[in-house]
Amino acid sequence: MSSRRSRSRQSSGSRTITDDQINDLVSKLQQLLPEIRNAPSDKVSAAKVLQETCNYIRNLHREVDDLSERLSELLATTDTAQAAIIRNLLMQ
Amino acid sequence: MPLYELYRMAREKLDSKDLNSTHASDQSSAPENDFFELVWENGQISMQGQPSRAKKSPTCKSLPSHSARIRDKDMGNGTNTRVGKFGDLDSGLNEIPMSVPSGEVDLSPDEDMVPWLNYSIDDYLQHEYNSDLLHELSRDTVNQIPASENFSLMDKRHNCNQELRDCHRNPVRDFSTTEQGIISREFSVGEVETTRTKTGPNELYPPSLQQCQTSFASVRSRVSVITDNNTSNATQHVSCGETTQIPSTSSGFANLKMQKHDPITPSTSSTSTIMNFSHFARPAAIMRANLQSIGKMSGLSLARSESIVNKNKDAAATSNNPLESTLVGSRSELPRDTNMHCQQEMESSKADLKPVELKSLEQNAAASKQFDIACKKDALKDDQTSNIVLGESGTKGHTAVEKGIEQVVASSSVCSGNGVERVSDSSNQNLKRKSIDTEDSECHSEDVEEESVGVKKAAPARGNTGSKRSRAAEVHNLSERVDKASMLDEAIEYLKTLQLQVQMMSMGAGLYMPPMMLPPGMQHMHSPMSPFLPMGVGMQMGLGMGYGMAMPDMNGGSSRFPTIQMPQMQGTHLSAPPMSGPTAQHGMARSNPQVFGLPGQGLPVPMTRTPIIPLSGGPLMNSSALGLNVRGTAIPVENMDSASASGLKDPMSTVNSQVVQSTDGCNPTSQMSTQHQATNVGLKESALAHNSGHSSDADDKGALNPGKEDNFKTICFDVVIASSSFFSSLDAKVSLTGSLAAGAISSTFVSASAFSSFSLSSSAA
Repeated sequence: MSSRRSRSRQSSGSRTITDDQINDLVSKLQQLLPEIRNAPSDKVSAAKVLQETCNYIRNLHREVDDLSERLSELLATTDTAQAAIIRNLLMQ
Repeated sequence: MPLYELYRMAREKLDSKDLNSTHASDQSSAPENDFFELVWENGQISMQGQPSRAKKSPTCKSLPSHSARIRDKDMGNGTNTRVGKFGDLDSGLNEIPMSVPSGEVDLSPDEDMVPWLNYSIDDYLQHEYNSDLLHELSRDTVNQIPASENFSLMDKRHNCNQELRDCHRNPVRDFSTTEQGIISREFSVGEVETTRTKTGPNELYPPSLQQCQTSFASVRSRVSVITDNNTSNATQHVSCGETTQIPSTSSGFANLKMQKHDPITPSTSSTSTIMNFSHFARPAAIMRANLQSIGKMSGLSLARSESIVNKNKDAAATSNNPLESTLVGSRSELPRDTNMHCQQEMESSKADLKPVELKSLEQNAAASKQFDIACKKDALKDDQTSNIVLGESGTKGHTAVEKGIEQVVASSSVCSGNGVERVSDSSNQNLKRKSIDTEDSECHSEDVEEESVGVKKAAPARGNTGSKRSRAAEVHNLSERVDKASMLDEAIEYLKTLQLQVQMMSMGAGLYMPPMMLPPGMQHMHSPMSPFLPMGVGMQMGLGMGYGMAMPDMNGGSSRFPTIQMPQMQGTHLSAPPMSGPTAQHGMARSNPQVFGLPGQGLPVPMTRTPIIPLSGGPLMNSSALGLNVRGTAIPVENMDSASASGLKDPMSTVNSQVVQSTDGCNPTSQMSTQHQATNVGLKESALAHNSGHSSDADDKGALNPGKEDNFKTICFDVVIASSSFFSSLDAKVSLTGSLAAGAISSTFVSASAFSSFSLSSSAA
């Protein structure tokens, strides 16, 4: 993550941020959204992408919460070694 | 200063016989008029309390009068700065005394003191350079001047000057270093201020060093205050706590001066001269700072550097001694860039001066140009005008020096306009009054651009901030864009991380579950489960495969994979769902909200609980699945354990290996071609899974390699998609299973579970 952030900083640091670059970022974001991933970029507005992103992030958060809850349950039923493994997995 | 006197002397004596003398005379005359007028006005103003411009008198007279006035003021105020001013005046009288006195006169004594101090610094520098030679000359000249024109005050001045000069000489001699010399000069000034009555130069010296330092600091502080609190100056100020009071006063005075100048401004030259003083003071301080520590110079603003350059020029012009060269060298080191600015300023100043004083200014400009050229010819290489000027001065001699001084004065006057703008709000008035001011402001703007920090005060005062504003707007827009881009970038990264996290958690839950569930199940139910255990493994494989499958599907790159994989998937699913049975449904229902978690979690649980069902489902299922189950009974468990121990990614590879092993273990002959296909598919899937595992790795560590972003992104997408699309794949699998499954119950269960999960997932989505 740190490296990514640094990269983003670098990109943001580049003095020449054009609309194309922003559009490219939006398209990238769109590709991350299963709802509109396959939709042609020209048919999906940036606002739509952002909105879908928000919704998708909310869903992801919910999923993460559910998964974490489930994992916590699993952890409760497992010995320490396995719990440690799960923790390791979660840490990732 | 002495040079100036010499110049005058040369004019009077030599007249315009020599070219240099002519130039000098012209320049001197013109500038003298301007400056003198201003001085006179200032002097009158100072004398009367308000300026009377009308009177114009020879510079010599005006100067002495100023000096006398200053002295009077100093006496009244008892400020050291005044004395220093006097000393400066004495020294500066020769060179730029005219302009300086005018500024001083106009301004309050304190204000005057500042310019004087600046001059004194320059003068000091010059003295340092010329200290010996110039001192004598200056003394003589000063003496001559006062004798001829100056009042009795001139004697005092002379005394002060002599003291100062002596001090200068002494320090220069003793230390030989320009800095020390300067300090000594400053000290001498301070001493003069403190001990005007004391004329003995020798006495002054010992204390002068300390006093000089303090005085320097004060001067610097003043300068710094005037110059927007330069950091270097601030440090100096800090060092000189005693002098801090003075700087504040000086700043206030500077403002006062500016205001006063504004009313007086009808003669722009006076204001410009005042400004020049301030500039000079800045450069002088800068010079001092530079001399003391060149490193500090960096902090100084370009405007200062410019002013320094001007000062340097003045100093160079004034100083013929070799010592100057050393000083110049040091100066040159500091502001090389400033030379350009100085030149620009000079040009601008020339232009400004032209409107104001066409004749004299033009002559001055020409002279300055000549000086610059001569300096360039001197091949000081540093490109610093000061160096050039110095070289010229050295070569051409006093007359040239005088011209240079005059020119410098002109330039200083021009610069002064800028300084005024910077220092006080009166700059606007100046601008209105003079178009030259606008030019100055432009110059200032350039300087400010370069030195935004230093010139903060000046910026508001300047009228030409449009460019800055536009730039600021651009920067703002750019910043906004950067913010947008960064936000999007962050969102993308966050989405990726979230997706990865979800997938990892689901996988972790799924993978973790099997080891948990299986080992106990394996141990306890080993005999009955033995055939089915592989099923569980196969299930996991299928799940893992499903992920891998999902990736291609999501990518849409390979449509065949789904089809090919589907059979195996069916097998796995078929085996699993039947096993799970109702429990599977329950698990599915639970896991439904977590679409991703379904495959891993739901399947393993059923495996453990319902060994019997698999049996029925198994035979019904594809032969490949059975084969897998039969073959890898023992191996899968181990793999699972290792997988569970190793972790998500490793499990994937282990699963793949299991598949391979199972395929290897089984007899190809006995197995059907479908099995081979299934194994192949499994291999492919394993490869895919491997890829997915790598992708996950890439996700985790891909950040390190920006170049792999694309691949990484695709992988991430695949993974995420796989997780998200897994549900759809499940649905497809369910349908397939339903069609293929012989056990209607199992299929129904599976389909029901899948459907429920799907609906849940869809609702969640």
